[in-house]
Amino acid sequence: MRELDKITDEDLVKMIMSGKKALFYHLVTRYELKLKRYIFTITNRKNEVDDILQSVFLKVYKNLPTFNKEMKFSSWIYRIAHNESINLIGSSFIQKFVSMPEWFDFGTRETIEEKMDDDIMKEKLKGCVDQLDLKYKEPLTLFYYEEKTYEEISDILRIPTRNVGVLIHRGKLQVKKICYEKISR
Amino acid sequence: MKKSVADAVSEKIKKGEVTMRSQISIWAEKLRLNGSMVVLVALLIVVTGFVLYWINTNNDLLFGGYGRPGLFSFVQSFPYIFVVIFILLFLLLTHIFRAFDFSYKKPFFLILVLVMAGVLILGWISIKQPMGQRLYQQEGRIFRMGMMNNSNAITGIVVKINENGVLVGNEDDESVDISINSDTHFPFGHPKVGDQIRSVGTWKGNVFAALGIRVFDETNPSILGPGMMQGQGQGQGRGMMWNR
Repeated sequence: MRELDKITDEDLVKMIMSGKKALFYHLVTRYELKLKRYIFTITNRKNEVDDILQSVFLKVYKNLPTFNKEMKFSSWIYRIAHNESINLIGSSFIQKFVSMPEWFDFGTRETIEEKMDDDIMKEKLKGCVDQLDLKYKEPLTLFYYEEKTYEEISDILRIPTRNVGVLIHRGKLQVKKICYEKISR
Repeated sequence: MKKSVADAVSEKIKKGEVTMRSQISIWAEKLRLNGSMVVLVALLIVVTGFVLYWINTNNDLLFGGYGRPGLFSFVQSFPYIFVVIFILLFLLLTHIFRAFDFSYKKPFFLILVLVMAGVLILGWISIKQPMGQRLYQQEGRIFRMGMMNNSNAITGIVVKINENGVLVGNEDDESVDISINSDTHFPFGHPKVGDQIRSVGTWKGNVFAALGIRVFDETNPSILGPGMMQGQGQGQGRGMMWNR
């Protein structure tokens, strides 16, 4: 098992593609928890998370031959999870009314400064994200909780990298505003 | 005990309930996506060609300076349907574009602008080609493009010339009296019997008072005339874009 842990996602995909189908189980276990949290973030439907998650993994397996090797596997699987979640909650109009859960407790960054910034942001997010638009909520969650880079978020949400930065910046401003309103009430 | 997602997924794979997509289906999807892009771009070029061909053959209305009658005639006969089709096709192209990875990795709007420019240029080139001209003439008739016989324009072949006007036979085999006065403008020379003409003006009872008359003849460059419309495009004549 430890040997398998050392293998990258992309290599694991190659092995599965070459016939070792049982290895897909390990791929699933790697992403099960992360995707569960991510799907719940988007949909906020606790009872349906497992169903969506299963459907995501089945889609991933089915479409493994289409996986673009130039992309990171994690971005690809998050993209599928994003699509499945959005399909469930419907149009962007409905998305605005979907709130975010408050049970995040994952993720760290490399440097101490980054870690501190992230921790502060996470704490702020915990109490203030309920009213955040999904268009800001998703990049913020991917950046602070799923620890994705701008490029990865760009691949997951299929938006230009510079827009990721803009959305995160605006999201942070919105979080501050919401938090301030909460405190001053 | 409830199975974990990993167990449930693995079981389905083991049982063969879920299988990986075949290479054929992946290629078919790629082909469908790329094929529809090519078809859409080709359609956009053709639609652009129709509109440009119409403008090319009716530019006397655009630049003739015939005032309101000229403008009204232009507005009434403009092939709006092709502009609507162009917009719809372009929206569809934009939608399909988004399926490609470059849609978010490269400047999307710049690509769309370049595609639009390319389509306009190729559409313009197509109206200069004999094959394109034949297509636009032939199909333009089916779409009733140009419909120049409206309240401010008459097209037809001169059958008689009077002192104060000309008598033309239009496409419906009807004769129309066109009156000419000293202010009537002849940017392409005076008509003679047998010439194809288009006149911009206003109706005064049963007589059409011409503000301007354009004569189409062999010297008119790049425009294949009504002869092309007869006998599956075998004619040699040049002239206006025949209206029906």
